[in-house]
Amino acid sequence: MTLSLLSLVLAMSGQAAPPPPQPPPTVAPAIVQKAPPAPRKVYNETADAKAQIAAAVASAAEDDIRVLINWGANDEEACTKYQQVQRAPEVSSKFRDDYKLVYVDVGHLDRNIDLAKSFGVTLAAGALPHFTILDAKGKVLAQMSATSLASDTDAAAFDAKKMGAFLTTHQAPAPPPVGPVFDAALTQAKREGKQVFVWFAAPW
Amino acid sequence: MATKDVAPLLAKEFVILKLDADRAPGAADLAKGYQPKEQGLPWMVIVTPDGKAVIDSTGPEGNTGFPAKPSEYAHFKTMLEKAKRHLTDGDIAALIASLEAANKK
Repeated sequence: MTLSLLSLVLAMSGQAAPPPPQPPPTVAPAIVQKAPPAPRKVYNETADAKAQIAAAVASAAEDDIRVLINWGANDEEACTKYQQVQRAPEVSSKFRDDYKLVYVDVGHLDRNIDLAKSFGVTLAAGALPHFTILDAKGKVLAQMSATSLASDTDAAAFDAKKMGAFLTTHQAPAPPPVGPVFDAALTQAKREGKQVFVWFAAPW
Repeated sequence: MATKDVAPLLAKEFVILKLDADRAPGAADLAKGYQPKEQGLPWMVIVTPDGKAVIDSTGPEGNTGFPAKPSEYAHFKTMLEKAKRHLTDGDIAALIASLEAANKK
């Protein structure tokens, strides 16, 4: 929650225009078994990853949420399989509501490696995707490798509940109650001879 | 339109309050208090310092959300014109132009 002109201003300047309404999350099992790789390429191999992260941090600051960096590669089987984790009902809303997602392509551990190191990430074969959580100021809060997501009953499968626990542990605190914030805005408006432009939004 | 150009225009007229409708306790109830029926997000309402609604983003075709097409620009302009006490016609034109420019990016 923010009490500033910045939100609308950014939206009007095209930097934070809300995306179109999101479809409801697809239901998927908590334990994600090996499945045919999804065709979706989420890692942009030509993107300026540093700029992507900076934009995500700025956007997260607008919504008082956090950033989840996913370091991986499109042709890495584990990275492809991991996509199903995000669709699991236990965690899908967290990805949508509580985090700005950034996918950084690391190729065959030969791309954006220095950038990863700058976030304290040392990437290793067989440990992709790797996840870094940042706060809304860009400070590193937590790291986790996909190897930590392995199911307790099937090492070849990811456990979405483990991802959910990781995200829950490090998500931003809930915004303060609206009542006092709204009252403060009304008081400010009265003092300054203005009106209050109330914008009900959601991080997604 | 650059942020530095838009911010002073909005600040002439409004205190901007962005609320997280999903996570902020009480946001949904506050919205309901201004909505005859539930609207999608984003949804906007301009209120006086006494908390009385002046106009909201529900236009002739429903909630405009973030204005992105001519009919939505038109309703957003209506919102500004109905609420204005300090904004000039030129200010409003500049704000609408900034929306159009943002959507062309």
